[in-house]
Amino acid sequence: MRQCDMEQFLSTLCRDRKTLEMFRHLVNGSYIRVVNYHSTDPVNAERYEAEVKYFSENFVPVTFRDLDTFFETKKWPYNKPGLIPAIFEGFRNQYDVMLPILDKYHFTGWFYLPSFYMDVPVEEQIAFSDAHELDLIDKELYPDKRVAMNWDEVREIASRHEICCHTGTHFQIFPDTPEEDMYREIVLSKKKLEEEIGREVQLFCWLYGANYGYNVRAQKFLKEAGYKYVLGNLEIEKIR
Amino acid sequence: MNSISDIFAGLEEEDLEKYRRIIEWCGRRSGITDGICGVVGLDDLTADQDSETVFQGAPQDEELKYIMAVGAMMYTIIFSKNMSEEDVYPPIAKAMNAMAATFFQQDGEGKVLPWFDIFGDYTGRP
Repeated sequence: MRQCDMEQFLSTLCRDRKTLEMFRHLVNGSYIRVVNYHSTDPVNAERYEAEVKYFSENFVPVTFRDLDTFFETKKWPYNKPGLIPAIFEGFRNQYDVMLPILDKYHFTGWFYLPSFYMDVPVEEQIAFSDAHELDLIDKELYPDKRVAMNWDEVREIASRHEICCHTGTHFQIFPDTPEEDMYREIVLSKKKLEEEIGREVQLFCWLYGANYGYNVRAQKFLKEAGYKYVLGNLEIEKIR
Repeated sequence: MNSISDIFAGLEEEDLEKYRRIIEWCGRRSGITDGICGVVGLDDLTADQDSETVFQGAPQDEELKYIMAVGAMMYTIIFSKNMSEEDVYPPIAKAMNAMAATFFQQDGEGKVLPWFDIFGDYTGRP
């Protein structure tokens, strides 16, 4: 039974700019695969390991250097496609569960950290997480109540994986967000991360995704901070 | 290797029910505890207007990218017809995630593997 015809296909393709852009990215080969992780509790460790093991057998890990090369030369330098395990929010369970798995299979993870989360006093971390949409499943996992990574853990991760900035307080930036908030969440958050890990942070990731042109007022802060890449829901944009 | 013309020619025979089943599976995943596969475009905003926009990916993707492109549009068709007021993301955003789960990897024999064929349907949630 015929379910779709060319007219329907073409009208969908052109329904809005973003749909056409994503079709272009796919046809042009200008894309990369990601797998997004958030709260990685030990109860699911076996499943996560099976996934990363498969990634290591069928894909290659991606570093910022690889991304730079891909953008500059427009040629993927490896025989297998790249895949980025993207680990969001800076939870302690990611250090305990995902880091050993990634290390075991020599697969680079990209850790998206809200920079000020690690400095929240331990006794306030669960409440902070609830208030800032940092979704934990098992809040009783750690008897000492420390649910965020600490800076020693972040530095260890940074020594062999990629660190990205995911605002300072897991803050959703809107076009009308006050400038002082944007400055704190875009510029100061990067500075904090770089001070702690001792190297440049190249990528900023919005909450809930947005493209560079979505928030014109934020652009000056992204430039001031010196980010090279911005990640929204659908694209990594090279801005420097 | 199928050309994009071949893939378009196959559109008339495409059964959208297959895509609806995968959408249902995607809806059962947890965005908090499950690994959610996706595909993100690469956009160089520093490039000149006339610069080349075609990338050469891994050999596996030479044909798969066209299948993914068509698949993304098929999903966009479905999501566009079923939008609700609560939807925050446009149809293409959901479509890209569903597409990534459907065409996750192509094996050495050219068979395209969805995520849940590789890792199983662990959702099991109502």
